[in-house]
Amino acid sequence: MSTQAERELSTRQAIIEAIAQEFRRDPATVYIGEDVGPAEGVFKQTEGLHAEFGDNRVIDTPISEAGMFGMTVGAAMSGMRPIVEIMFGDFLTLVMDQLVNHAAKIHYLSGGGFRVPMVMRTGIGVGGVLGSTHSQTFYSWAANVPGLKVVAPSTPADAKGLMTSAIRDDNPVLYFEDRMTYNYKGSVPEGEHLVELGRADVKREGTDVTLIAFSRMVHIALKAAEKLEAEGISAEVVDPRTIAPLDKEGLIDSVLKTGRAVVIDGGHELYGVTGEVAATVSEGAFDYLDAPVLRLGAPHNPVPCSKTLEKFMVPTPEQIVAKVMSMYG
Amino acid sequence: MPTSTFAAAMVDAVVSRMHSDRTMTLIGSAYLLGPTNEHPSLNEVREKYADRVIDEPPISESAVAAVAIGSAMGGARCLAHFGLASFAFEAWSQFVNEAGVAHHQSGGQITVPAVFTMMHGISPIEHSQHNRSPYAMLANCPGLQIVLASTPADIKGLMTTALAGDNPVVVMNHPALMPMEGEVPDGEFAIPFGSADIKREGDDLTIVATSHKVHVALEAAAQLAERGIEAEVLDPRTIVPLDREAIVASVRKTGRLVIADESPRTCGFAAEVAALVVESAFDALKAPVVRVVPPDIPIPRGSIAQSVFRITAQKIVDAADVIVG
Amino acid sequence: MISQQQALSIFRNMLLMRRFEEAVIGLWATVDTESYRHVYIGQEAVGATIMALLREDDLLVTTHRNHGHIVGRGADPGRALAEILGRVDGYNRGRGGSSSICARDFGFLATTGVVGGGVGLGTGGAFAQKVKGAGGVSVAFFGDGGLEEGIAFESMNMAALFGLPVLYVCENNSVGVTTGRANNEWSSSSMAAATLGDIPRSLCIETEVVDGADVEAVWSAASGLLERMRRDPGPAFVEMRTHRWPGSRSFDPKLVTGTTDLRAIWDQDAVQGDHADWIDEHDPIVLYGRKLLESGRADKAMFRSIDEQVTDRIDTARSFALASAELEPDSGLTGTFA
Repeated sequence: MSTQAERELSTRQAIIEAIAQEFRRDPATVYIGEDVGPAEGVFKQTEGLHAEFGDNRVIDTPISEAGMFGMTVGAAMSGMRPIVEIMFGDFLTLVMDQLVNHAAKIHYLSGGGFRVPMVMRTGIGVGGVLGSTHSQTFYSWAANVPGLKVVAPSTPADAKGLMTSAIRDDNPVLYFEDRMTYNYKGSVPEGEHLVELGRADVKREGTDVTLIAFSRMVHIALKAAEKLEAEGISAEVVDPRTIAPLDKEGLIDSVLKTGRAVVIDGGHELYGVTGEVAATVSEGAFDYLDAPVLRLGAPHNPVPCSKTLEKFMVPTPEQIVAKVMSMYG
Repeated sequence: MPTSTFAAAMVDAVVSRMHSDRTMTLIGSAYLLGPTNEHPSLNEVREKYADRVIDEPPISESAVAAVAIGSAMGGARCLAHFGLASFAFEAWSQFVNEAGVAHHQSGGQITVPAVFTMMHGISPIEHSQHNRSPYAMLANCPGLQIVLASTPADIKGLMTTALAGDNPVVVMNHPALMPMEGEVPDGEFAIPFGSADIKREGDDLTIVATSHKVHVALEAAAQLAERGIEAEVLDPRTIVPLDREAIVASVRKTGRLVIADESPRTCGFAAEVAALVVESAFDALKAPVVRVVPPDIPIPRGSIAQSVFRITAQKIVDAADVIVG
Repeated sequence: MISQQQALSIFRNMLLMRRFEEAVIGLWATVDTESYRHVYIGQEAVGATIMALLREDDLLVTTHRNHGHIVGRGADPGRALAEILGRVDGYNRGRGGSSSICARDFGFLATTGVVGGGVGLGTGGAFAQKVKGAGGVSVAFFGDGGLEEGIAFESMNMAALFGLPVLYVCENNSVGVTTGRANNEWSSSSMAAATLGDIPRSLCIETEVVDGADVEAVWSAASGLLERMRRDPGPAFVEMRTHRWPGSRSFDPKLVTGTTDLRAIWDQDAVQGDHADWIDEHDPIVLYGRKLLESGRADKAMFRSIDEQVTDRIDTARSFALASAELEPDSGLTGTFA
C-alpha cells in the first residue's frame, strides 16, 4: 500500500509503468518475447520499453515459445530476473514441460539450492474474436502445479502492484492480464507500488452475498452488485487477485459474514478455478452458509471465432443476478 | 469368470481393435504398460501389423501427438502412448489446441478418433520430475475425454469404448494397477463413458475415489466397517464426461463425502467434485466435504519422502472420522 | 510439362483466389466483421499449381492463411465467405472464421491457428495415407514462421525416419521484408539457417528451393517430388519464396495494389500506383499471364473471358454469403464432442 500521489492510468500503462520502474531499479531484469522490442507488442503492451532500455534488456525472439521459456528459466537460475511474455495464454500449452517439470520444481528439488525468480506474462480473455486457440484462460492449470504462483489483476492499480511484486518475488510467477481490460482506467500510485501476493481485496462491501470474481469478471460482478442493490440485496465483491496461493482466509471471512457466495470466472467452469474457491469456501464456512455456493464460468466448449457466438462464453451481470436470486426462494 | 491383470486386459482391448480395424495405427514405445513392460500379444500385433505401427519413435512427444492426431483426422484412428504423463507435457498444444478444438471449430466436419495413454501418480521408483497426475488440468480443456480406470474389467471396457469412439481420449493409468488381477468378462464388451461405478455400497458416507485410489478407498472402507461405519465407494471411471448424477445421488443417500484423489489440491479433481456437490446437494450434506489429496508441494522421489504425499487408507479413515459422528 | 489446359486452369484458379481475397477485403470495409484475416495475395502461384498436381484422395493441412488453399482446392467460395462473415452456411457453421475455414470433403484435415501446429498434423495425415496404401499423399502448408516452432523439426524427423508421404510446403513470404540479416536476403527474419531449405536437408529430406511466383518453377519442383512420393513413400520439402504483398496486414489488409487489372499483363501503362514495382516484378498473376501471352497459349480475349467468369463466380459467392442467415447466439454451445 502507499499514501503517495495517484493519477489515472489505463491497465496497459500501469503494467508498463511497473516494468519500467523495476527495470530502472534492478539491472538484472530483462524482457523476452515476440515482437516486444521496436514493435512494442501486438497490443502495444510494451510501449516505450525498448526505446528506453534497448536491445540488451528488451529482446525479440523467433516464434519459439518452448525455447524462449526454457531460456528464461535458465537465465533466472543464473542470476537474472527475467520476464518472459507468452503472447497468448493459450500458448501456455507450448511451454508446459519447461514450466511444470522445471520452473515449478527446481527450487524444491534442489533443496533450495536454486531459485527461479521469473515472471511469465500473458494475455487472456474472450472478446477480441480471436478464436479457440487465442482466447483461452488456463490459469487453473498453473494453480494445479505446486511451485508456481499465479496472479490475475482486475484494476490498473492492482495490475501495477502485482507486476512489481511478481518481479521482486524469487519464485516463478505467472501473470495473467485480460486484454479486454487494457483500456480500463483507474487511479494508480506514481511511485513504487506493491500488492502482496496471496492477498484478496474487497472491491465493494456488502452484507447479503459474496461475489468472488477473477480478473475482468470483477467488473462484471460489480455491475451485478449494482443491479442487486436495486433489488434490495447488498452484495460484497471480493477479488482474490492471486489465484495461487489463494487467500483462503480472506475469502472465507467474507462468506462467514454474508452466508452466501457465487464464484465467477472467465475460464471454463468445469475443473476451473471456481471449483477450488467453492470447495475451499464451503469447507471453511460450512456451518454459516445459508445457501449452496454457486458457480459461473465459461461453458465447456471451445471459444468460437465469431462475435455473435463468443458472447456466450462470457458470464454476464444478468446471469450473476439470476444465480443470486435463486438462493432466495 | 476368468481373471486377468490390468495390463493384460488393456492390451486385450487394444489388440482386439488392431485386428478388427485395418486402418488403426499405433505409435509409441514399450512403455505402454509401464515398468512391467512387455506383453506378448502386443508384440505380436507390432510385428503382424508393422506397416500400421510406429515403434519406438524418437523422443518427440509433440510430434508423436501430432502424428496421432493427423492420422486420426485422416481416417486412420490412432493409439499413441507417451510413457509418463510428465513426458506428455511437451505435447499439450497438440492435445488442447489441435485435438480438443477440431470437432467444434470445424462445425462438426472433423473428428479426431485418437487415444493417448500415459502413466500418472506418485511412484517411489520414479525420478521426481516424473511424479505427476495432471488430469484435472486436461479436464479443463473442452473436447478431450478422460479415463481413469481402476480394475481390469473397467480398463478393458473403457478402452474398447475409447477405440470405437470419435473423440480424442486421454487414458491415464497408475503403475500400481498394472499387475493387479481381477475378473474380466470374456469376449468384447464396452463400458460407456460418463457412467460411474459403485464399487461398494454403504449408507453412512460416500467416498469418491479415482484410479488406484479406488483400491485404497476400499481398504479404508473395510477398516471403517469394522467399526460399524458403512462407506459407499464410488468410482467415476471417466472424469470427462463426469457422472454428476451418480455422485449427487450417492451423497443424497449418505449425507457425507470424502474424495480421495492423486491430483494436487488446488484446482484438482477433488475441488470440482466438492464444488458440484455443494452446488447440487448442499441441503443433503451433514458435514463439510473432505478432500484427501496431495498437498500443494512438488513431490520428491523415494518412498520415505513420498510417504507424506501418498493417499493412504489411514488418511481416508481419519477424514471419515472427522465427519462421521 | 504443363499442358495448355492445365496452364489455363492454373491461371483461372490463381485469379479465383485473387478475386476472392479482393472480395474479403472489400467486405471488411462494408460489413462489421472484425477479427483478423490473412490474405493469400502474392502467393497464388504456389497454391494453384500444387492444387493442380493433387488427387482427390490427397489430404491437406493449412493455416490461418488458408483462403487461397481452400478455394484453390475447389471448395465453394460462397460457403468460405459465409464462414468469414460468421454466417450459418459457413463451412464451420460460423465458429471458425477466417483463420480456421475447414472443408473436410476436400481433404482438409485441419486449419490451425497455432503457428507450426499443422506441420505435425500433416505428418499424421501422411501416416494415414501410407496405411491406406493407395498412393495418396499429405500436403502440409505452413509459413516461414512455422519452422521456428519445435514441432516442425520433430515432425520432419519422424517423417524421414518412418517414410511418411508428406510434402512440406513452406511458403516463405518474408522475402522483401526488412530483416536483420545482412548476409542473406532470402531467409525469414528469425532463422539462423542460411536458407530455410538447409533445415530439412539436415535430416536428408529431399528439398527444393523455388521462386514461388513462378508457376513453371513450382510445377517442376513439386510434380517431381509428388510423383516420387506416391511410388516410394517418404517426405519432401519445398521452400516457396515470394515477395510479400505490400498490403499484407493481419487485422486490416488494404488493397494498396488496387483491384487487379489484367491489362497489366499486356499494357505497361496499366501498371500503376505506389506499388507498381511489386505488380510489375512480383505479382504472380501478371507474371504468369505474360508467360502465357508470350508463348501463345492465351490471348487478351481469353484473359477477359476468364476474368468475367471468375468475377461472376465471386459475385455469386458474395451474394450467397451476405444472404446467409446470422447465427443463433447460443449455437456455439453444442458440438464439442462427436
